[in-house]
Amino acid sequence: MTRKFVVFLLAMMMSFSGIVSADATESSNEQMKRILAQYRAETLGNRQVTTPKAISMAKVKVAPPVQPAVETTQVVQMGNDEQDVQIPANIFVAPPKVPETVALQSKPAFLSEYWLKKHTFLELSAYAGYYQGLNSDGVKGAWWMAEGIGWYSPRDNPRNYGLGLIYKGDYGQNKAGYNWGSHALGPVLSYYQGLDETQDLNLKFRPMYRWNKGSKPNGYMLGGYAEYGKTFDDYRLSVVADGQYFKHDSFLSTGLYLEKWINPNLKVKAGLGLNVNFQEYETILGLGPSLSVKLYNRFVLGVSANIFKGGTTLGAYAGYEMNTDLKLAYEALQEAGVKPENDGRISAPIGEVKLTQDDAGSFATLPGGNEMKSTGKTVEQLLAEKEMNK
Amino acid sequence: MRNLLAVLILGVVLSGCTPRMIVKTGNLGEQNLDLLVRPSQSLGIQVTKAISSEKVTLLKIEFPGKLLSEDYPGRIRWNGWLVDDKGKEHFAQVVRAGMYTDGRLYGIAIIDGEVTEVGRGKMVILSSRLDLVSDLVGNVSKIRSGDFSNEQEYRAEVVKNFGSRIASCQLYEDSSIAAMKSYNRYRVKEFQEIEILTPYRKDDFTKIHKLNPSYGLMERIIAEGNIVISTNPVYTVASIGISVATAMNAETKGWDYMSELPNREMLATIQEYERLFYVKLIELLNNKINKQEESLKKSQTIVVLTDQVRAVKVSTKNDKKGARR
Repeated sequence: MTRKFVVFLLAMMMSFSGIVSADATESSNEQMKRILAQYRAETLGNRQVTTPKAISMAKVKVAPPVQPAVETTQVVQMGNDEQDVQIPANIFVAPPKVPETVALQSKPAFLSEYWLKKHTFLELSAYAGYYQGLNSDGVKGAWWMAEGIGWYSPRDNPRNYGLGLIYKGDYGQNKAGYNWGSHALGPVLSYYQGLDETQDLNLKFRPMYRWNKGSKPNGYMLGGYAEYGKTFDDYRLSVVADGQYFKHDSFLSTGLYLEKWINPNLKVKAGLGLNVNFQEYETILGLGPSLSVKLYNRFVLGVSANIFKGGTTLGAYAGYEMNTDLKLAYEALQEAGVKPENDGRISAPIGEVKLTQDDAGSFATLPGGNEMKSTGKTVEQLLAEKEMNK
Repeated sequence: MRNLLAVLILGVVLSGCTPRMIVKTGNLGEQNLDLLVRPSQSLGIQVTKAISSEKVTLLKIEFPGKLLSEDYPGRIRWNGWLVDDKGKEHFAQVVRAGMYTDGRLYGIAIIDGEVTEVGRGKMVILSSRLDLVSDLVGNVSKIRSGDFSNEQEYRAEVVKNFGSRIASCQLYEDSSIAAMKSYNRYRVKEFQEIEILTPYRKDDFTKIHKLNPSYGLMERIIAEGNIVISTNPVYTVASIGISVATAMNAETKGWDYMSELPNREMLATIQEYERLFYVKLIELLNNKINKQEESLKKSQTIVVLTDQVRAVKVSTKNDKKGARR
C-alpha cells in the first residue's frame, strides 16, 4: 500500500513538473489534451475507446404519479406539482458528536439503565504464577492476583475510564524453612485512550492495603502500570512500565516490545525488560530478554530469561490465539442458526435488479411486489366508508 | 475446537453480552420485540402474530431516500413504529418496494393491527440501530435509541413530534400480504428465535447471516481482538485486556447509519446497484413510449389510409355521378 502510494506521489510530482516545464504559450486546453493523451498512452496502452452506439435516455416527460399527501408535524412546503421538503441541515453529512435529543426525560441520561448498559462493561481477570530459584538455597513460591474493572466507554470518544478492585497474594519459602507471604486488596483506577489511529495508551493506578505474614508490618502499597503502543505499517512497538511500592519490598519493571509480521503465517515478537527489585537489605537489578513467534495466526511459542546478579532463570511458554478460530466458530454458529421452514413460491437471487409494473402503473422492485393489489382508497376514505356503513 | 468455541460464543451470547434493543415496556401484549435490525434480518420480513393472522394494514408510502444510507444490495426491510389515536403502540415494517415512474421510491408499510385500529395513528420509520427516525416524507431526526427501546413515554413523544399521520396513505387490499407470505420462510436462531420471510435463497441468506456486524462487545472482540490462551498467565490476561480495549473503540460493520464501509469499492458496488434501478426504469419507460409511438403511428396510418379510401370512394362516386350526367 505504502509503495503504491509513493509511486502515486512520484507520478503526481512528475506530472506536476511536466505541467510547469511545458511551453508557457501552450493554452490550458492544449495542456489538458496533452496530459490526457499522455495518460491514455501510459495507462490504456493506446487502446481505442469505443463509445456505445446507443445510450438509453428517457424520451418524454412522464406525468407525475399521484402520491399521497402525507400529513406531518414537520415543515413541508407543498408546491403545485411536487413537494419541497425542508430537511434538517446536513444530518447525514457527519454524525454529530453531541446527539441531538428530545428533552423528555426528567432524570439525567447517564443514570438510566440503558445508558449504563450501553457504555459500561465489566472486565474480570485472574492469574497465578510459580517460581523456583536455581540456586542451592531452594527458594520457591507462588503468586496470584484477581482484578475486576468496570469500564466506562463513551461512544465517539477515544477515552475510556475504569474503576475496579484488585486482590494480590503471594507465598514463598526456602530450604532453611523460612517462609513469607502477603495479601493485598485495593481499588484500581484505569484509563485507556486511543491517541490516534496508530497509537494507544493504557494506565492503571492501584493503591492497596497489604497484610503480611510473619513479623513484617502491614501497610499501604502503591501499584502502577503504564503501556504505550504504536502501530507502524507492519510492526507494533510497545513500551511497558509496571511498578509497586511497599516499604522494603518494591519493584519497577520496564520493557520494550517489537512485533513484526515476517509473512502471513509467521509473526515475531522480541522484547527486552529491565527489572529492579528493592528489598530491605539489597537492590537486585535484572535484565529480561524475551522472544516469541506466532504461527498460522494461532499458535504462540516463546522463551524468556531473567538475568540478574547471582543467577539466571530461564522460562518458556506456549500459547494458542483464539481469534482466527473464534471467527470461524462465529460463522459456523450463525450458519447453523438458519433453518429453512418452507420454500416459497417467490424466490430471487440477492441483489437482483428487476422491475415489474404493478396495477397502479408504478414499477415494483420487490420480488412479488407487482402482486400487491391497491384498493384505490386512502385510509381516511376507507374509515369514512366504514363509519357510513355503521 | 471450533465446536467448543461455538459453545463458548453461544454461552456469552446467552449470558447477555450481546446487543439487543428489545421493547420492554409498552402495550404490545405478549410480543417482545428486538428493534435492532441485523444485516440478515433486513433481507426479509419478520413474522409477527399479526402477520400470521393477517390482521395487518398494508400501505403504499413514499420511501424516504435518506434511508438509503443504510442500504445494501438485497436489503428490503426497515422497522417502523406507530402509535394509534388511543395511545396503543404497533410494530411496523417498511419494505422498499418499487419506483414511481418519475424515479421516486415507494415502500410498503406493514403495520401490525387492522386499519380501523391504526388508521388514525402516527408513524415513524426507524433506522437499523434506532439512531434516527424518519417521517413518511423523508424528514429525519435523531433520537435516543436506548430510551426509545426502554421507555414508552419517550416513544410516544418521538412519534408525536416526528411522526406522520397515515390517514392519507393509499391502502393495499388485505389479501396482498399473501404475496409476501409466498416468500421462503427461515427460522433464525440468534439472540431470540424469529421467523423471516425473504425472497432470497438459503445460501445467499446464510452468507449475509454469517457477517459479523460488530454490534456487541463479544462480536467486536471476535472481529478486532487478539486473545491468547498461554502458559504465561500474564500474557493471557494482557491479551484479553488489549482485545477488550480495542473492541471498545471499534466501529460497527453492519448496515446501520454509523457503520463503516471497508473501502470505496464497496461504496461503488452499492452505488452501482442503486443506479441500475434507474437504468432499468429508463429502459422500461422507453420501451413503453416506443410501443405507444408505434401504436400511435399505426393508428395515424389507419386514419390516413381510411381518409384516402374515403377520398377514393368519394371521387369514384363523383366520377360515376359525372359520367351519368
